[in-house]
Amino acid sequence: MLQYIVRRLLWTVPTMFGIILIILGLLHAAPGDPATQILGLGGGGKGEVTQEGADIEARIAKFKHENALDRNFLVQYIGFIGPFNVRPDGHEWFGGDGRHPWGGFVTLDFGVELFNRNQAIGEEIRRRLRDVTLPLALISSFLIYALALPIGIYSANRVGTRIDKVTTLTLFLLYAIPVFWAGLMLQLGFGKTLLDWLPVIGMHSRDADQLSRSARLWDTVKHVILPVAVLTYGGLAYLSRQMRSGMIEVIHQDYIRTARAKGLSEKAVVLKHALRNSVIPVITIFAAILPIMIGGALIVETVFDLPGMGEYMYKGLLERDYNVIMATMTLSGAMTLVGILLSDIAYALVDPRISYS
Amino acid sequence: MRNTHWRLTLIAATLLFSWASTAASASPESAGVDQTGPGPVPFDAFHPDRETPVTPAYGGRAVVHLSSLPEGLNRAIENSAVSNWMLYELHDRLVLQNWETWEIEPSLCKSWDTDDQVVLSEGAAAKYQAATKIGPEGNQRSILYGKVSESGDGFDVVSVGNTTHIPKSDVAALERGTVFTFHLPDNVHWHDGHLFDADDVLFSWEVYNNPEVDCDEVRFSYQKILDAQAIDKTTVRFFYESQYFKALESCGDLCILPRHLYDLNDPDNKKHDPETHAHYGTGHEFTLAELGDYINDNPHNTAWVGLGPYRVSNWDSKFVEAERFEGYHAPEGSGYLDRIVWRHIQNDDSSFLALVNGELDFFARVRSEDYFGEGTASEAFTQNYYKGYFYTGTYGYVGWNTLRAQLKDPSVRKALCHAFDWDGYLESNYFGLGKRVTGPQNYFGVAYNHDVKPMAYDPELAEEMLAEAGWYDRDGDEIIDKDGIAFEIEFLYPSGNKASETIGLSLQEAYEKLGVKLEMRNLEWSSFLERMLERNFDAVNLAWVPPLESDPEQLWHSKWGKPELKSSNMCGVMDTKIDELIERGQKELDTEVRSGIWWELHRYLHDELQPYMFGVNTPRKFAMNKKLRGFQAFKIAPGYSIRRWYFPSGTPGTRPSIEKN
Repeated sequence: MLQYIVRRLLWTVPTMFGIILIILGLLHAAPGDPATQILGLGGGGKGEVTQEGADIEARIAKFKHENALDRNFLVQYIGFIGPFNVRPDGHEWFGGDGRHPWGGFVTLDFGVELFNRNQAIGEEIRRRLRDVTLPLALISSFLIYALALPIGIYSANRVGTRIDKVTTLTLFLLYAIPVFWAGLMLQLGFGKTLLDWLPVIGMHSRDADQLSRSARLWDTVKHVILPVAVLTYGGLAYLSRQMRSGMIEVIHQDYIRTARAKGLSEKAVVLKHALRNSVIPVITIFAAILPIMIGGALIVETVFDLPGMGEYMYKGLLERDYNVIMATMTLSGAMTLVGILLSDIAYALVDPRISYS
Repeated sequence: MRNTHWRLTLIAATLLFSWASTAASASPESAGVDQTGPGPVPFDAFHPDRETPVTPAYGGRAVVHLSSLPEGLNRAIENSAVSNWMLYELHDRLVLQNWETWEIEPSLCKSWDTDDQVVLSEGAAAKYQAATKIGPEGNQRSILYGKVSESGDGFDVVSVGNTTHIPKSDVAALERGTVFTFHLPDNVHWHDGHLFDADDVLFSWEVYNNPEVDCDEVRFSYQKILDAQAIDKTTVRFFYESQYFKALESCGDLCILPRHLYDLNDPDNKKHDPETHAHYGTGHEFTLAELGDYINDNPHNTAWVGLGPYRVSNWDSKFVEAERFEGYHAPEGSGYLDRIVWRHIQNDDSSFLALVNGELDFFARVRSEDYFGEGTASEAFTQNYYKGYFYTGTYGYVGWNTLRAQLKDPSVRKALCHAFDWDGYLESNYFGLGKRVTGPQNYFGVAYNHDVKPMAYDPELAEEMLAEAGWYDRDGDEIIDKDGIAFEIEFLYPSGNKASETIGLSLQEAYEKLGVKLEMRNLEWSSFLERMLERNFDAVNLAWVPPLESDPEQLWHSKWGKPELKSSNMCGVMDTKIDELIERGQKELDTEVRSGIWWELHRYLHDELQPYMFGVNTPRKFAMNKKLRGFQAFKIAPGYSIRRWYFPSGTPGTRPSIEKN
């Protein structure tokens, strides 16, 4: 087992290199580049195209040089991976002045934003993950499991009944609803436009800074209800279906029939014997769900105006901030890899029949 | 005002669709919203209780929407419209254009003097004791400055009561209105308590002379200033190289930086070693790169230390919060509110929801669907908010690439204008609020030529004009052609922009009847710009937000029309008459005469060249918290002044005077 984990971890390294290569390649292939943004055009009309006498070409050249965007693809690739800083203040091997020779992802240096050099990307990602994305993802994951398992079990034990059909239909409908639409509908329904039960934008109310600690906590709780609901419903529908089908499969196994024949109660048969085996694939899915929720909360964070990592990635894409895009997407890729690894390990732990020799 | 600059904006999607009613809560005519030219602007013109008198109170907070968050507020390096607007509250300028009279008035300065400049011919300087040498090495000149009048065979220069006569033989040039002396107060403090003086102003101009400072987009504007001098702690003087009609506006609008926080050579800077006058601890002299980087990456670009009535108290990815600065030098002009919060929400739908749910007090990007639809008719809205609109001179246009074979003939471009029913379009999409525009100046300013009438809708005439220009269907494929080239146009517009899409579809339909094939192409903003700046387009749809009087050079002078340049003259206009008018207008200091020049330029562009199919001037539609009063709709961007807003007396949390008890 340990050998397997080590082997998988070693494979993670070239896989990450491949991921970074693909992301950088896509960035270069996409139209538009960060240098256009420095003309003051970011965000749909922040400023002028250019002005009389403005030495735009010189400005672009300087910007590219400072950020190593004038280097060839391979050097830029090395710059993102590290450990060499390939910018003008970087390693002498790459023509730098040696002031800051090291950098790149392997040194856990994600660099600074292209358009705000005072903002360290690593620090910003940490803040956004800590304050917004991670708490939302964890709460949603917990809710997905807390709801999906009972629903799946309940449905599996009533296969073909009206309630099973209604549950199935409802869950399929939920699964089919686009996230942005669901977010908007919940905002309209629960906000002041209709029920006026919940706040619909941001993480805090406008007057949150004047509230007591407990009132502020309650204010935050109210603000996260709708985003969590939107993050949860898709996974809930998917996972409960997984649970249901796994349970149905197990229920028809011989050992379950034996358990029943031994005179065990239905509750003991389902919860003690059937559940243990049918829950294996569902548990392992967790490792895959979490990174998707962290990296894929882009739409929810945009609709609810939450300053999380997904929103950061979106901002980076709009501004063509290569550093932000590379950092956020690489991190998402890394989390997915870790998720898959954990998933495989979880499989081995819960199911002794699987051998990794 | 920062009027030298044109601003490119997307035509907001808010301009179009479902313009089903003009049910504004006040008549725009009576409200003065449609008025051209300067004049008093009424308060709360759209407020449902505008007739009820209220007494302004001090205190409270307003949350104002921001659609994009600037990277900082240092306008030397952050060249965005939003930062400029925010600085109206967070900073001060030497002079300010009065929101209503449009006159330039002292703001930070107490007063200023404008003098003429006599440039002495070579060798003549020695004859005059009062001669001054100005300018950087390599571009020095000897001058006499003061009030200059013609006298006999030369000029009399009156300066500080002394008159100097200069014969014409000693005069190389006379540049009128090119020397500005600003007299500053001696009791103004920065937000951190440091005393403001003339050295701050001088340093703020010198910033533009450092090539390492990332200010290339605006550097040209301040390089017209040949020299500047801090005469003493309260007097600073600027010398322009030559006559320029926006000279006062330009130097008076300089973004003044606190030298003690931005200049490593300032003895008060923490990194400056007073012993060695060099870098603290290292002893080496600062290089230009170090000085430049210190400005580019200065933390105070966001943690702003300014001179305005509000100071930044918090800045993150969603909020910029400002609180009243108790030490503001002109308390009578400080705002009523104690706090202003700019809240950044990028998505307009989310922003409107935030407004309705009480998270915003002011939002000026209300979409037409909401403005005329259920969005602003619902009880959730009407209970707490009201709606209105204001004009700031924005106009949309379709720009033609005049270097393309199909579009290089002006008569073809005119034919394309005749073929489109702008009035019908305006009526069905704007229901009377939009205004047809025929030229590049601000519709409401004095430089706009209202005598130029829009081209009539006449598809038959358009067809005839095209045929006369040699464009007719030779091969029977229902597309007109000439010299083997089919008349096909790619219409480029930014993706997600519904207004552009609508106009594109309307044009497509109109041109199809003429045998012109218009293909629509939407591109994500960054890609769109790249294509446009590389002149890789046939037609583009965009909007400009011109100041009240703009310098047309950027858009129309031939020096920016060359295809290899990435410039705002993307249509490739290169015309000697245009160049001559622009150069004459730039030097003309008499507003009336200059307006005549701009009018001719306007006429010539519209009637002869037609590089743009000028579109419509559209209002910005806003929603505002009913509790907030004091809104005035100005023609100067952003169209409102937050420091004039207030909560009426009796509102909880407010007080009758500015002093807090």
